[in-house]
Amino acid sequence: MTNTPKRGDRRNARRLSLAASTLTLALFVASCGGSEAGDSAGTLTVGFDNEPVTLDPAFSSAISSDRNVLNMFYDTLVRQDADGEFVPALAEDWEQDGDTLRFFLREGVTFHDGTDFDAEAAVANLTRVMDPENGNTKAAALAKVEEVTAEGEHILELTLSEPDPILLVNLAHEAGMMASPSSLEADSLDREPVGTGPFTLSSWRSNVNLVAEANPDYWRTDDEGEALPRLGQVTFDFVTDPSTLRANLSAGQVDMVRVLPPEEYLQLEENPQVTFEDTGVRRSYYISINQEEGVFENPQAREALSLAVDREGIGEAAASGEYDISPSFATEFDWFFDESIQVPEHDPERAAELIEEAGLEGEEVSILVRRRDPDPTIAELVQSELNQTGLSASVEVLEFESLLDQMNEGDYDAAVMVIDVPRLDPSLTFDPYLVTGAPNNWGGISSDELDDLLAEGTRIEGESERAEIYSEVQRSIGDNNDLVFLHQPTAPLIHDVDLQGLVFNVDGQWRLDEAWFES
Amino acid sequence: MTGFILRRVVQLVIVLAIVSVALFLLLRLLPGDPTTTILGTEATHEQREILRAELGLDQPLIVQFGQWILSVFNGDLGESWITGEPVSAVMSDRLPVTVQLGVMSLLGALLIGVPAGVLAAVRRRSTLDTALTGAGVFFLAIPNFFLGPLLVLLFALSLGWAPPSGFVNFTDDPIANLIHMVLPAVTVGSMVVAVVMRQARGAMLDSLGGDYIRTAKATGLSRGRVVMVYALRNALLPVITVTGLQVGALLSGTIVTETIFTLPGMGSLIVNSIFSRDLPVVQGAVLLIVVAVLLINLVTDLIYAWLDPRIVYDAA
Repeated sequence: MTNTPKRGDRRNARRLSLAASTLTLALFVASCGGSEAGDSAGTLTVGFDNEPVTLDPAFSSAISSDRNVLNMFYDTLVRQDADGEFVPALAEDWEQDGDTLRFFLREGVTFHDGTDFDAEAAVANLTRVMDPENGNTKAAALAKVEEVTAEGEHILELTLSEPDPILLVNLAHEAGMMASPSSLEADSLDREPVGTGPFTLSSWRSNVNLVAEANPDYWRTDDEGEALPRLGQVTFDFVTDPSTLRANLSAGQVDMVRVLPPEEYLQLEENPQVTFEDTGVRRSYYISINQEEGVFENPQAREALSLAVDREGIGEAAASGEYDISPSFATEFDWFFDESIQVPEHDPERAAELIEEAGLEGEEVSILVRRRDPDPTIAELVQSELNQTGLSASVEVLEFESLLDQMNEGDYDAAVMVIDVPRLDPSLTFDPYLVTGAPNNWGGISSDELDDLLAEGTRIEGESERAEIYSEVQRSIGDNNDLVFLHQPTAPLIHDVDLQGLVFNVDGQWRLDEAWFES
Repeated sequence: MTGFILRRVVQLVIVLAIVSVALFLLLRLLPGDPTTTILGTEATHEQREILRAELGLDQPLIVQFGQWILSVFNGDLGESWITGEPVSAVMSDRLPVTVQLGVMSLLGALLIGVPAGVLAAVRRRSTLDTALTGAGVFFLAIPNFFLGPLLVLLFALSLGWAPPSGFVNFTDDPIANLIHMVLPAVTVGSMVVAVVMRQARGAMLDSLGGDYIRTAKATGLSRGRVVMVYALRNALLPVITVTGLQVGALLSGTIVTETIFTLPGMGSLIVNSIFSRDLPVVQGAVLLIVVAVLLINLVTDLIYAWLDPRIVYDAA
């Protein structure tokens, strides 16, 4: 019984020398473990660094990590498996007929509060997401849905204004999560999630922990027809400090940690009770460049920056060698990854020439960076490389809120930033950073060509056609040095070797409904 | 005495008024936007505006301050911007942890610090005195943020005697609760124990040199009785003073220590809320701590009078 995706296996085999193959006795650890987390009783404790602000999926703000928690409480009409295929969930079947999408809903499913899940409930949920007036964060996901109607107790119909290649993707995640109509009305989902999911909320203390109990009436069964979920209780311990998370894992206080930086997880390599699972998640470091004013308004200066940075050197120093190099936010497992696009060779001499040609020698450049390891180290490396080109660079280490403030005001030259990739769809990865005037387009990238390409990417259907468009996009940002992409540290999921049955989403986020402890 | 207490209460109100204005304004000077924490970086301008209106952030600062101070007077500290929970509920959930941590470290500091100080004074210039004084200087010099991780490394990770972090409610499991609290209490208490010990030693040396001690000895009283009753009672006064003053330091120690050990107390609440720009929670929590420190100083003054009948607060 394994639910690890095939791609996951390949990734494991490919890279993780960290894996549990060379298990030896650890120096210390695992002493007071196990018993405390009550493994055999089916109690899982997760060390989680990114506590959701809300458990209302329509208002969820973390790009992907919230879903690890939301998946506990909510189901969607369809699920998307790790290979990107859509499989039935609350909808047993669906069909597309022109601009009409019809879902045949599962019967006999109840919400945690006992009310039945039916087409009316689904309409209430989707209509709420489609209403931009209530300020929800997912409205854009259903922007091309014109109307939602119940065509019978268990038939749901969506009318589209135009084709939407990622509608099913969106419906399979936060925008399509189904909550009880009475809690929608009470507007209480933010602290009291009521869905149809495998677990029910037992308690949630902000910044401390969240406890969930198995939902005894869960509709799903495993392949053998056995009831799910298998775990009796799941606790999320909200801890942000990586070294505390690592210590808690060592001591057996937690069974799984969402993500740790390489310098922390490499310390667990010798621990026989811990295994690393490469779910394909990468932390994609990049440099946001202000091209509206200052030195980097000059394209030659941006090119010089891209040539000056030693991506391999930064990866070795700041990610302990556990990294990939990619010319964009794409990872090599993504369907829109294009091998023919490469990052430029490290060429400090050419970079210095460019700065000289542009007459920018001695010009001052400020590099902003968030106060969180290892980011300042990366900024310092970039600084020294820029100084060698003849520019005069300085690093400003800021708390995240202050950093964003300055970037939103355009008060910076360059900023070392990071996002988790992959996202569910390339449009969700690229659009917020590249479309003219988009929220995370701090540097003022504004190109009709890019805007048209990105709009086309959300219009046409077919993976290979879309892959071509996103190749164009990646080529364009590389050619113009709109963003400079650095390294992509691996971010494996780290968990107790006895924890089995984790199910992954296409973007590496996990589900716990089939998880269990092997004793 | 009543007049004294009244004066102090008036002082307390004035201090609180100044603190709340300063607190409110200083927090507004922080860069950053609470809507980023709530909506993420990729939210649109419209989504942010809707949320700002909901939180009342579209009002002028003076209106926001007025609304806040009015509701504080009505006993309502407002709601968390991030979670929507009432600030008072959040604090009543967190306060017991900090109180327990404070009481454990203070009691520990007194129980170890006073006897150690007395012993060092009685055995003045002995090896024991040198060792105790040395240890005191060591603990005085070592900062919380260094001692905490050091203790975790040794007692949690190497020896496995205590958990590296976390918290269990006393009502759920008293033993586990105490086990989780030992390392944090040692971390917070280390600095206080050193201060108490040095103060106790110094005060004891003073009173042991007093004429009344010589007289007491001359009347044939036992050495133990002279030290424990005659000298110690007089020496306690300065010890109480420093202990009272240490409560402020203790509270700031809990902020660092709770963060290191991820204890759900007031300290970690303040730190987390500052980082997430949850200003109503920061305001409520800081106000509460200010009130606590002021009240403890008042109580300290009252204890003086009880310990030393010569101290009279009201002019006749």
